Amino acid sequence: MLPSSAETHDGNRITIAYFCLSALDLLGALETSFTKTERQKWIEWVWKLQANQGGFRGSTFMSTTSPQSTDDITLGSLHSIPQTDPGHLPSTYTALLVLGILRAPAHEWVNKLDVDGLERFLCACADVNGSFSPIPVSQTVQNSDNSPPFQSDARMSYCAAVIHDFVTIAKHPRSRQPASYVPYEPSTETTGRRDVVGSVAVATIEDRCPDTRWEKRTREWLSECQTWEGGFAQHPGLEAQGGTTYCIITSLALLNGSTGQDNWSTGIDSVGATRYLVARQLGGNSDDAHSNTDEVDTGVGGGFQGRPGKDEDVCYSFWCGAAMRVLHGKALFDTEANTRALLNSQSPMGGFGKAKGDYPDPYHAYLALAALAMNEHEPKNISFDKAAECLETNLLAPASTEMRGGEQPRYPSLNLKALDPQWNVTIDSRAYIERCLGDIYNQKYADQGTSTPP
Amino acid sequence: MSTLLALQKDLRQELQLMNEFAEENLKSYQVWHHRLTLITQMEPQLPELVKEIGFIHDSLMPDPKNYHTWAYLNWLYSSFSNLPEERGGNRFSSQSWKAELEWCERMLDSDHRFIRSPSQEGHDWLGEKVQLLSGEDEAKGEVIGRGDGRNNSAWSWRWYLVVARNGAQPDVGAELEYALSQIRTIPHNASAWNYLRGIHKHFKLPLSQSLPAILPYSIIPAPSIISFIPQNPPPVTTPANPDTPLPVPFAIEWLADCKAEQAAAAESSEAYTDAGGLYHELAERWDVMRKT
Repeated sequence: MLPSSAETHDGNRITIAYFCLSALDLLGALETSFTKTERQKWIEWVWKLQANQGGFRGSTFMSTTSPQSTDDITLGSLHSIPQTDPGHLPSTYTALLVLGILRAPAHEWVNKLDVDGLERFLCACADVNGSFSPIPVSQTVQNSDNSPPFQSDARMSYCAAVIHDFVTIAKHPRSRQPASYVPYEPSTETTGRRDVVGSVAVATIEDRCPDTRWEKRTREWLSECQTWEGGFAQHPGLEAQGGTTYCIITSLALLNGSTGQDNWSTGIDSVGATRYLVARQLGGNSDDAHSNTDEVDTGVGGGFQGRPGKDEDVCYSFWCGAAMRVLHGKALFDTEANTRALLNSQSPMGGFGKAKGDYPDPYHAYLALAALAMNEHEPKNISFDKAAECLETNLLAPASTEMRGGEQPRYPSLNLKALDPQWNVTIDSRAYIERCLGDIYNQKYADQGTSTPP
Repeated sequence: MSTLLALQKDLRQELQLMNEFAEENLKSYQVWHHRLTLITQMEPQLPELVKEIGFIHDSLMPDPKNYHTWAYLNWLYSSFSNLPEERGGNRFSSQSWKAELEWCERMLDSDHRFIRSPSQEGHDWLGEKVQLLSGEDEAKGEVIGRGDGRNNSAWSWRWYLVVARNGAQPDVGAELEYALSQIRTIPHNASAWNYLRGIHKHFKLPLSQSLPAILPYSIIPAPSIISFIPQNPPPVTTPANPDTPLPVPFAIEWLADCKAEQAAAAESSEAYTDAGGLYHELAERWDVMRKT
């Protein structure tokens, strides 16, 4: 049962679950706080969210039919279960991460995850201009100018890029190159067209995916979101913002297969993006949110704002901090001041709200912890592409006194687990997910000649 | 939704019913998406669009940096100015764009008060309802919003209206002067500095072109930078407010970037050294948070 303040998010239960469970994962409290049975029940609930045409739904509510038990869930039976609600891109992203965080058994990944459906779902959400819709485009209402739906934005592209990474690992693990386009084949339940309303023209899947590689279009669209400020907006033409800047930088990195090694960022103004991100850390300069005054912010600062002229918000310590790490492989800001600011923003009742004094919520609590974890485990300019190797070589050990120039940190170690800034999950959980996806490849695709995309 | 859309006659009524719901849920994409869907299917002409734009403007009064609302405003203008001919083509005239830019300038005018007079109805889009009143008139009306030179969302909207939209014909000199005038009003205004920098970058203008205007905001001794002030520079201005804390870090950054720009053009190691010194000054004294 969700608290009344969160009732409006009932359709996004899986995302709330992700914030809570990933936070507990960072704290190392999952196994100590909950029994194995409880965790297994949650895993079963997540599998029930898998839509029969691929992807995952945000909640079982509004579902007209769902399987009676997890025993019903096999790849074959999924397609025979009628459902009226399709998969949802952000819910798919968070559902897969939750399965990893909860350590859903590898055999369940192999037997229950519909990777081909996932790939079809991904393509069904891809729109003509390179953006992504949260649900298959065929099930959205078309805009008057045939432009993509309002919510086809950078957030969806990020979710699509991570899911694409999952699919690539499961089907093409050796290449880690963009997978080939898989034509979307409408089933008898879906026409492959948008809702036909009045005289509004419809766009078929052929119209929407005229070429065979959506990745190229998506990269171009993502680059078009860069603004005059250097940051990235939710759509081309909108205002840049820290969260969407993270989404786009990370999407570009993921679509190119790795970070810090290739020239994936040559299509964007990375200097401008860096300047934009660095400038969002508050304190020590003039960029506070004191409208109509010319007062200089003389506070200690260290937190981040999402946009110029806005107040500090703990979530942007993650969005901006992670974006810098993806772009440069390391933080280019004062991590110690940031940690101090975050710890100072804690709610007296535990957790974090948007800022000091605000009522805590799972979204801000998780992202604040994620930012703290990255600060605590400042990496030594590594690629995040091989998380398991990082663990083995201990590259992500907490920054030593020597690394800090001989100065002792002014706060105690928080003992948080290390976080992967690309997938936004602990390094441990990323490694587990990679292993399970690798098992899928070994057992289902290795002998099918799909290791190398055309 | 599909059923609703099939009943075309109810769309306008639904849009009206949505007003209060939207006002109570300004940060819900679902609300704006629903509104977007309705107005799309209405195939509105300019008067209905004016009404909708007025609603958006009013919605921004209590929350002038609301990303969702600005995104919907952007969508409305972008969508209905780029319709194909078979769907009626562009709905907006040059007068429409001019009026929107004037509204945007009021949003960025820190001295402006948006007043709702008790006797007035309608929307502010063409200045019909909300206007700058003074004295007795202002006392009678309700202040529903204030202009804000630091409203970065409004700056982004200005960029769209003046530079980015299809058919825009930017007056680059006027934009430079607009940004500088805002800097003169609020010297520590990050948005104005960023806009000035954005104009320079987009139109490939050397940063040194605006250097004389920003010198008053720096305490860096003039001799070190005289060499790259362009010939016949405009008159040096002074900060409007003598109480403005100086230097302004953005001005020092601008100076440093000018040096770096000059160094790159001339391949001058001396200029690089000067730029490095300025960045060091910035990091050690004026913007220590970005020292890293």
